[in-house]
Amino acid sequence: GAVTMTSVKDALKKLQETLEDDKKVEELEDVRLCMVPWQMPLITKMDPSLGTLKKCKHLRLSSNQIDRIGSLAGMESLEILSLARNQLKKIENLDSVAGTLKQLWISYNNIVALNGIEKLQNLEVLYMSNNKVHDIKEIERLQSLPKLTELLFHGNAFHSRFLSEGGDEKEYRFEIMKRLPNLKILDGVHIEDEERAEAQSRS
Amino acid sequence: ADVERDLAAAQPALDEAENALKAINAKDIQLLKQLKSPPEIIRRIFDCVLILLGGDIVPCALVKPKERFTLEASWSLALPMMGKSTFLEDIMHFDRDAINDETVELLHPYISAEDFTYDDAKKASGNVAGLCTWVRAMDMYTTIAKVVKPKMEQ
Repeated sequence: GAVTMTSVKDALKKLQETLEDDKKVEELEDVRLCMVPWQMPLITKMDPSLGTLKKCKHLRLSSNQIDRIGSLAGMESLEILSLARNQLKKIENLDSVAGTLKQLWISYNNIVALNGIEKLQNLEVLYMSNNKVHDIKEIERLQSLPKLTELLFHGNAFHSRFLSEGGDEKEYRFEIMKRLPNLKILDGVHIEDEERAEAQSRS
Repeated sequence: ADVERDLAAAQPALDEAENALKAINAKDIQLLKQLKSPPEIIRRIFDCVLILLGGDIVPCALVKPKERFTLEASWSLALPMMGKSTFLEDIMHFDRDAINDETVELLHPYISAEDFTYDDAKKASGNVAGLCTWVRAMDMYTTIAKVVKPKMEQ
């Protein structure tokens, strides 16, 4: 039958075949392994071949079937890790890239809790819409990230529950902002000084 | 002047998208909702609309409806979105400046398909094909704005 899954190793091999002769996958700063389905099957597992991508700043593994974060050791230049639209449940195994990682894109996964995120001390951007976070306390874990300025959080269970219990979009934003006073952008929209001040006055 | 020139490059695509959206009416959406088996390309377009509007989508799985693999569509999740009386209006007034690079990356597997075009969609399902033009314009706008915005801040 048809092959419907692949390893990172095979995906990198196929990516190499698409490059011009003198270019090597290992030299790329932007590595796209999110599937173009009619060319490649989906990836289910991260494996140590990722460690060969020494120059990679942006690793794109979105739109696959990966169920856990792993095997990033050796990716010494990684700044943006995209694992959106996979099947992640946890934030884990990020120690080896914590020194360089600035952006984590993990929207459309199954994440309930954010323990593990506090290791990412250089994180500036966290996109995590449409996950399963229902407890606002998880947002408080982000207080330990000194550089975090942009958060995408809509579409989590907390958001929909807040709205269904009679809260509105504005109050939902206050709930996040008063816990994260350093945010500049929430759910794609800039936080104005006035809005920030009002959020603070409610806490 | 650089900034103006860059933004001007996106304008034709945005105008085209606006006109394509205007050509869609509530009845087109109503008819589409009633289809038991909507054309495969239309399902793909609605996946993109869900992604842009921040709606839920199904996890990735490969299916092979025709001669090649494609991602399983989120049609059952698109139906409630289409059922909203303000659906077309919401798209018209969509805040394109709120789109981020992650969203653009999620659109990539769809947009890079060679048959993801207005003409192919139009053949399959009439005026709602305008949504294909809109999705492409949003993608292009975000890519251009990414270059323009840092220049504006200088």
